[in-house]
Amino acid sequence: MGLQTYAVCKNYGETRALYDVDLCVERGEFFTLLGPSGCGKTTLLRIIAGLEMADNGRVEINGQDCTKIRANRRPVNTVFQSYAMFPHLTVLENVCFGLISRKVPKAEALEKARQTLDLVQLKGFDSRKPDQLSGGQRQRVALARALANEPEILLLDEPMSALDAKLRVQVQVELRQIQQRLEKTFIMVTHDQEEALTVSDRMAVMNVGQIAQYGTVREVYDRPLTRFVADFLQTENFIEAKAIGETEVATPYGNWTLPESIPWEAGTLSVRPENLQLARPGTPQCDLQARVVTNIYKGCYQKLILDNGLTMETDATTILEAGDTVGVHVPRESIILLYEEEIQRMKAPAPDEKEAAV
Amino acid sequence: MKRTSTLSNLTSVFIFIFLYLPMLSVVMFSFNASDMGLKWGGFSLKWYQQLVHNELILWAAWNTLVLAVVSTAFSTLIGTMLAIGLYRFPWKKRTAGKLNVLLHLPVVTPDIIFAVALVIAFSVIRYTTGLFELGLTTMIVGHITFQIAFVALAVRGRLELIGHDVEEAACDLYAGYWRVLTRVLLPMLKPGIIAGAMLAFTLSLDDFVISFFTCGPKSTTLPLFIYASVKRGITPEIHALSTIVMLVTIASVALMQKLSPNTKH
Amino acid sequence: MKRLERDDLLPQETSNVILHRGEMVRPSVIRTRQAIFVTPGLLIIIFLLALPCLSLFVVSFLTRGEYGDIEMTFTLDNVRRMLGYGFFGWSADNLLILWRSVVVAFMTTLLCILLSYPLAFFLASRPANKRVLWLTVLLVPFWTNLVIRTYAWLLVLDGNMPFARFLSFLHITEPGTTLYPSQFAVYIGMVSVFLPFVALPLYTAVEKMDWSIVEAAHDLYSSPWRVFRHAVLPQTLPGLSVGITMTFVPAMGMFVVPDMLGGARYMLVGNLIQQQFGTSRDWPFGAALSLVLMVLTLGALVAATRGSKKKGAR
Repeated sequence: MGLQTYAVCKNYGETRALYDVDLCVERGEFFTLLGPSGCGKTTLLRIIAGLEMADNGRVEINGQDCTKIRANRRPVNTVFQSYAMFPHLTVLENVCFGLISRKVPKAEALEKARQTLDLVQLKGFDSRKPDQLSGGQRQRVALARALANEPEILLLDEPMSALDAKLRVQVQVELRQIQQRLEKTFIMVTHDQEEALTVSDRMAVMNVGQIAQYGTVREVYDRPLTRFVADFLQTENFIEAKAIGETEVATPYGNWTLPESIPWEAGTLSVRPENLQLARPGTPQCDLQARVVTNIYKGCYQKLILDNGLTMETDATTILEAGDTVGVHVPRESIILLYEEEIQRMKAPAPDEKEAAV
Repeated sequence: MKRTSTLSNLTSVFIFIFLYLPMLSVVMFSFNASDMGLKWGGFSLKWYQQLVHNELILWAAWNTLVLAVVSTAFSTLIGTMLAIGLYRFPWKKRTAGKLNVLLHLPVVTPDIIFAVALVIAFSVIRYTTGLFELGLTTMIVGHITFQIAFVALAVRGRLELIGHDVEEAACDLYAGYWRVLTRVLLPMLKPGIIAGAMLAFTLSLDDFVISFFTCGPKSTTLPLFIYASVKRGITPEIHALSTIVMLVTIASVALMQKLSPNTKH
Repeated sequence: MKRLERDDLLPQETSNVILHRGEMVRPSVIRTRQAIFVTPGLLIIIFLLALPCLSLFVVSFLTRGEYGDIEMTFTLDNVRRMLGYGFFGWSADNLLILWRSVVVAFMTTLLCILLSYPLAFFLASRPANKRVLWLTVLLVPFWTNLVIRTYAWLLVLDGNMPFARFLSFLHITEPGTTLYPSQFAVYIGMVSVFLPFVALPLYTAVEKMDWSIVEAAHDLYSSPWRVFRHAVLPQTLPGLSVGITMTFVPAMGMFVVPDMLGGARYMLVGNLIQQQFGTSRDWPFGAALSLVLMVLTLGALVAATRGSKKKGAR
């Protein structure tokens, strides 16, 4: 078992930063806290790191209660968003800092630091100062500085926000590879859903101080439970619907029969744009017809904005102009049933239930 | 993009002449061979030679140096501590406001009131404890009092640049309080501390009024000596002395410009 | 593993420690450290500056002893003396000196502003790589010892020097007249001392100025005064107000320049204070004069902060 938090709450004056957050991160997994700015994800990370004090609740690392253990005694290290380099120290001294703090003999510390710099592919930069490095190199130093201490858990606070888009993709892959090689627990905070999907095993989507949904990357992406999560993961089509039978709904586009039973009387359905398919009008496949308002060419696919409010993505081989009428097929298995936010606030399984499940 | 008119260029030339003419005349007359008055009597270095043999001047120079060095050392230490104490620790908003006023007090108080306040304080202390007879010690304490605030303000500027996260990173990397302080905070404050110390040193050399009030009968510094000599009537020796003081000033200003980070661009 | 009850966890007893910059400590530890850092500096400022300044309120109303000591007797004598009632009946001398100090400070500030604007524009228009050099050129007089700079004027204003000869050639003065001590000499000295105090902050403001506004103003209005009033002045006001405070306040208390260039004929309140603490050994009267100067200073500072706030709010 890696990290568990129970009922962590944090307020800043009147503002609620975190409310009753339960989180369970397995040892050796890459876990991501995803959410918009101000959702409390960084606060949660700082509480785990021991840089912020929870108002109440408990943080356990490997089963040991860490709530009252100082940051400088916790088996946890952080990669800061700003990297927080020590500007007066060289790269090597930066990486050694934690080891020297813990009174590791100098030779051993230097050896370990060099190894870690090798790991992040920064050989030969030992005696540079942080201001002589590029943004990407600084980020690697920050990573090495944290990893050199062999923490139980590595915390990453938006580690790529200072990098440009191209570099970011490359670093994401490298980060994932390092994590898999070391088999360490990584917990990352980000607001970039693509980044979260690229690197993580599991993730939690956070909203206003609470965890909105929690699961493997695939689970969360394929089955967003609430409108907030669906929206944050860029599911663009939201359809208001009413239940008219066990599995049948009435929508503005007609009555559809879904493959699963419907839990509410009136609610929201969602379909990803890439799941909508073109269909020849008039065939039974065609669920609805619409005019194309705008066609956005994206290279490998085109994005069609339709006059009935839906958005769809199709391959770019079918040439369509604005004003053309298209038939659309809505595959029933790709329709996502969304739940009301308040009712379905997802909780991490309680520890013993979890054990039972394993 | 930026434009200047002939008028502003002419005015500026006039201003620089206005600022430098008196200083240059002092330099010129320091090389004057003539003993009396302001008539040019040929080039000579004799005033500089006399200077080196004038015990009184050497002693005043030594005093000036001791005063500047000792007061700078103390005020740098105390001022740095004050800045760290005021801006690194949490204070109630009201208290912080009051402390801020207190910190700016030495900066805005006119010299003469500052001097009067010191004289009163020293006499009260002397009256109650018998310590602090006016002399070099009181001058040093006086200088420290006005230097502290300048050092603290210089260090504060640096502290504001640093931010929380570097200290947090140090804690995250297992550093205790002492290690954070000595290995992270102080090294990062170094440019601010050096700037503050140089400011304090220059202020001490530059000061006349506070020394004049707190010097007592027996101690003298170069500015006090020059003032007293001018009151008696200018001698060419003073020109030479002033020239040297000006040279030291130019050197220290140039050094300060070179070291200060915000004029580097 | 034992199941943790939610109620066991809430609320945690975390109130006995706080987190300060990543460090988990008891608040009392933070308070102790804070006190250690702050105490020496604050004690010095409070006991050697703040309290003595406040004590002026008391000392001003005490009596001068026979040997220049202070007697603990309440008196309003010093106030009366300041208003001009002395041994020999009423004279305007003291009031005149106070009034003159304010006027000299005001005029000095005004002259410095008038001279500093062209200078600030000149400095800001220098190429970036030369600007540090020009700034150093301005900083050297700023840091040169006040006494030396003032006595240097004694040389320049001497009767045998070209400047005085030029004036006598124009029949403005008698040949061989030394131009000090005089009001003219005091102003020359004051302006040369305080000019950098206005020019430097003003230069900083001009350097940061948005020139497109000035160009827009040139497009819209023709008169240079309106350009200055509406495009330049609002942008340079922060620098200007710093310069004004840095000049007006110390100029009121200035004592070296009037002492050396004004002599007994053109005394300012600084000289009067110095006399009381020097030759006259009349501390209570000196304290009363200092008190007046302090009140004037405070008034100027309050006016300056109010003024800049009001202008900034517009």
